[in-house]
Amino acid sequence: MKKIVFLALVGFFLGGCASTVEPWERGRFTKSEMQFEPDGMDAAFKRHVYFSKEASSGGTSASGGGCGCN
Amino acid sequence: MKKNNNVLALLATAAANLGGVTAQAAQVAESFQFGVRHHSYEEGPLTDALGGSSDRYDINVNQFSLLAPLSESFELGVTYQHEKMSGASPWFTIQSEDGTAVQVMSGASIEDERKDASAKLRFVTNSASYALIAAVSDEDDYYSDSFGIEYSRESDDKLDTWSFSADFSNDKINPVDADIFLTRPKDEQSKHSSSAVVSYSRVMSKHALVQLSLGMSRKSGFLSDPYKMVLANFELIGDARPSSRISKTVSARLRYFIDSTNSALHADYRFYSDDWSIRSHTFDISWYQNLPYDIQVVPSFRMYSQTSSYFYDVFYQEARSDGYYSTDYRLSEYGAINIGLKIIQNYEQFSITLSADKYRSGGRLGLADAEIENPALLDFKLISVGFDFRF
Repeated sequence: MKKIVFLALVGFFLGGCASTVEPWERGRFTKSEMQFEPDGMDAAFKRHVYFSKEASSGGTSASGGGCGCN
Repeated sequence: MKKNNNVLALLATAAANLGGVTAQAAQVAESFQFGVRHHSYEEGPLTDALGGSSDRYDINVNQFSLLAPLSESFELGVTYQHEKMSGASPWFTIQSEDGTAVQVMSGASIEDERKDASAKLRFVTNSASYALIAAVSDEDDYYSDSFGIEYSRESDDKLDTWSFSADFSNDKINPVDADIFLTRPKDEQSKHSSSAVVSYSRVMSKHALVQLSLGMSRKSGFLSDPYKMVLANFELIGDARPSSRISKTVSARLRYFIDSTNSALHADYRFYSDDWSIRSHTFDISWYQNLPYDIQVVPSFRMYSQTSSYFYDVFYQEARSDGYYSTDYRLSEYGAINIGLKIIQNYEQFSITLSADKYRSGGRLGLADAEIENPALLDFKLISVGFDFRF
């Protein structure tokens, strides 16, 4: 039931915010700092560190292979 | 004529921006990109621990990345990472006379190396991208190979992007000194993992981009730590965990650009839960501040909290009926805070990156409220330096 409520809220949120952003208004998204991972190497390394040192992993990409560190 | 020029300029900007926002979905890199990083990772010592050494891991990592646009539709990315580590590792815990937990460390400093390589081939169409990924990781006592796929599709107006990724890995574990330590398995052990993530991202406004993701992972086989031990009923036995683990994640990411300060806010959240009863919350906030002379400064703050696994204990007073035992601090209830600062100097064709992170953890940090803190909880410092070159 909680999942259904959560998904409904997400759908409502996204639907409510749906608006048209014209192509010429999207210049900010070309900036590196507006990417989800501006520094892919740093993000991959940090994921590896946290995967090794914490019990949780995953979230925004598939997990990849394992290592002896965990 | 001037009006026509303005229209042309507007259309050119629009065309450029159409690609920019979807760079992660349906666009091949415009140039070759080569990146190098060196990371120096240093764990704080466990001064109250017993055993041969209180010094924990120091790890030096060299990381290389090459992204090559092969044609208008194909792109190849390869990475290579070499880690060299040394230090002692937590073995097991004992209860001191005053009832507190004391960590016993491995007798001597451990030296190890890990090599990791991956290749990703990406095929891009007007509104979708497909990728195949292969990766290997090799250590003295551990070998892993994995295979992954990625698919991403944009809506016609390029405001929405759906992504799907999945991977499968096979790991082989051959613990060293298994003939000396009877708690370590003598025969090769194996582990199989698979995971999948579905993501949806949307341009919410001229300034905001959001992404929601659902993930699932399944691991089976040998999931124990062969080097850790447990003192239970006055007997030293090997770390023993269930042979299956299923986890789920829900994640959200926000990118918001602030015109007045010429900066971008990154706010990420992840909820994790698994069938070992571990639940965690991860909050990650970064501020990308653009400065004159193409300098970017990025302070960041990360807060992590997790509950313990159902079979973990800091020390065991009684035998468990299911036979599962672990005093591994990574399965205990704790919280952690990481504070980071990164400086990026951009030039026309290359950039230089320097960053520092300080991580500390505790039984009552963040949302955690551990009854007895695990004595092996970790603090570390991380210094990274690197450059990226585009040609």
